[in-house]
Amino acid sequence: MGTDGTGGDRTYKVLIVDDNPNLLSIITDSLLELGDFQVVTAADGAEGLAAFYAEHPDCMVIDVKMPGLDGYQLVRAIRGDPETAGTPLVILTALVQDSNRFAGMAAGVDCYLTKPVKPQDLVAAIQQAIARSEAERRQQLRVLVEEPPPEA
Amino acid sequence: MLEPLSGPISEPAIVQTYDRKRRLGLTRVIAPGIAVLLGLFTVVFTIYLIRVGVPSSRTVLAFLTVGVLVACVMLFLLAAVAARRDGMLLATRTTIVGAGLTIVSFTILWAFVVGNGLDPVTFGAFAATGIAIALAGVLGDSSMIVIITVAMNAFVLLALIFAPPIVPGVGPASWQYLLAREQGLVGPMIVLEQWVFAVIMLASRASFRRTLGDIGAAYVQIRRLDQLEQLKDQFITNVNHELRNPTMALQGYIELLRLRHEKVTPERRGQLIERAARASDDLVALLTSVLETQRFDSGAQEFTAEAVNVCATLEDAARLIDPREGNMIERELHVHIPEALEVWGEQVRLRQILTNLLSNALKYSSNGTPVEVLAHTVLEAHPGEGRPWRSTASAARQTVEIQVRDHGLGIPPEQKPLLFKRFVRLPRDLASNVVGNGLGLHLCRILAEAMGGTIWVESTGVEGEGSTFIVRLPAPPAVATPAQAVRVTEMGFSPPQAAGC
Repeated sequence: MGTDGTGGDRTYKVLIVDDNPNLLSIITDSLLELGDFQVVTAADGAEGLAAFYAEHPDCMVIDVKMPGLDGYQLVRAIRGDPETAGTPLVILTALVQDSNRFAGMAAGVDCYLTKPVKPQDLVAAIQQAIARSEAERRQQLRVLVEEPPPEA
Repeated sequence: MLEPLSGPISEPAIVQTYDRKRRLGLTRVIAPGIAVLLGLFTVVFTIYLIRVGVPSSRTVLAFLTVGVLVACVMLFLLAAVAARRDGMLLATRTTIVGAGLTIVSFTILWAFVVGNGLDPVTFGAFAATGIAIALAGVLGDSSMIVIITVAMNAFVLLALIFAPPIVPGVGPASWQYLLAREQGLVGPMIVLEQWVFAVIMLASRASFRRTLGDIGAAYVQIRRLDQLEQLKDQFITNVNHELRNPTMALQGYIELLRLRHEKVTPERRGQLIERAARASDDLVALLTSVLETQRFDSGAQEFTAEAVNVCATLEDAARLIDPREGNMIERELHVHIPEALEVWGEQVRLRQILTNLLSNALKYSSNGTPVEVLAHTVLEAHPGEGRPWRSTASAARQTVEIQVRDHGLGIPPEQKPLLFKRFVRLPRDLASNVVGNGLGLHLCRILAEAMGGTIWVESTGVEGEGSTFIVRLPAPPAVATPAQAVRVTEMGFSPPQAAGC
């Protein structure tokens, strides 16, 4: 059993997208120290999208203000694809106004965090987002099993 | 309620705008009003002529009179139309001149052509010249008041001199004859009355402009305060935003150490401590950059000027650029600067200016485009040739111009004056993803002026043509500049490895 706290028995992979290298550094170290995660990083939206499709992370932590593709566009891209729409997404941003928070929630993120966030709180948020997403998936599977598909 | 003004806000601009509005508004009422009244008068006059009967020898003259009146009505209608279409000068001048012309031509026809001479109707027309002066006072400017008054003076005096006498049989009037009769007083009296009128109009207009000036000053003040409020808010938002990243890094590492310092290896502990230290340095650097502008703003700092090599300073500046601003990608920098070119100033300040300009050029242009830096000497003929100078050089002086050119979005011409103001970022950039605090160019300006130089930007505002920021600084004194080898290099930016990732 891994020490990531979700009760699962594997190491979860988290993709972090932020244009600030110091932020990537602290978040990576937080995830490595406080949980048993595998960490992949990307420095802007486009790189993040490419990494998402290449690495299939279990969760993403996304900054909003980035050159090129910004955080919300990235979120919409991932949510827009039905295959990937269920991926847990955590926004981590310096934009603290309520209007920004509403925009974030409206874009369909699982969690909207404002910097600065303590490492333990960030890790907890990621674990919760993954746990929620896993629970939903298990629920969906159960439904599929219990309700036989309509006759073709 | 004062309407908001577009365009440059300054007291003279406001005074002019509102004066124009007033004159146009008045003309829109007065010109058609006079047209109607004159039209009515023409109708009444025509009926009078018909009732009284005009001797057949004078029919042509009678028609001429009516024709002139109708033409004058047309003039006022023209003024009314021009006023509708915002042609202020045309409308006001046509009205004023039209009034003068109406009175003059009617008098000429009545007194001279028809031959009634100096009869009550003619004197009535002399009194009516006051209308023309009043119109000039209300619709025109000070010069129009004076011009119209002088014109009316001349008209009255000439009419008095040349008008046929009332009493038939007595010889033609002449100026001596005029002085001999009691009516000799009439001329000077009427001229005096016209000038009294003019003076009243001039005073009234001056007082009105003073009031407008006060309103203008108040308005400018209000707008400035509004702008300051906005800038202050913008700045607070920006700095608040910028501070969050380094703060999170610092707090994060300290928390990690607090939670895990007993459970990690000494090496790892050391690594975390190092990273915490780096985060705290970042934070201090940010605060310092914000405060530095404050320090420069609040007082002139003394420094000892020396000859500073431009090439070397540029290389230092390039090294200092935060690689994140280049998007962590290699960018081309083309340098065309004579190797031995020097400016008279301070090395740290010049480096700061170049760092800011290069950093901006990188941030606000896309990855594939190059950034160019050129420098050459320029003989400045007259200080103050359209550029503000702090120093008091009297004769022509040798200066050095350094240009930093990018091929990015460019600056819309109407926003160029805003650029060097404190905390200002263009609306386009605020909405973009580019990070900035609006202080860089303001700092550049202060530093350049502290060294006795100046800085400005040239840009067409067309995307892709970019902007050229030009810094002009004094050259070292009394040094002949022989033709020097120009160094052309293409430097690539390779950002250092982002440590720790």
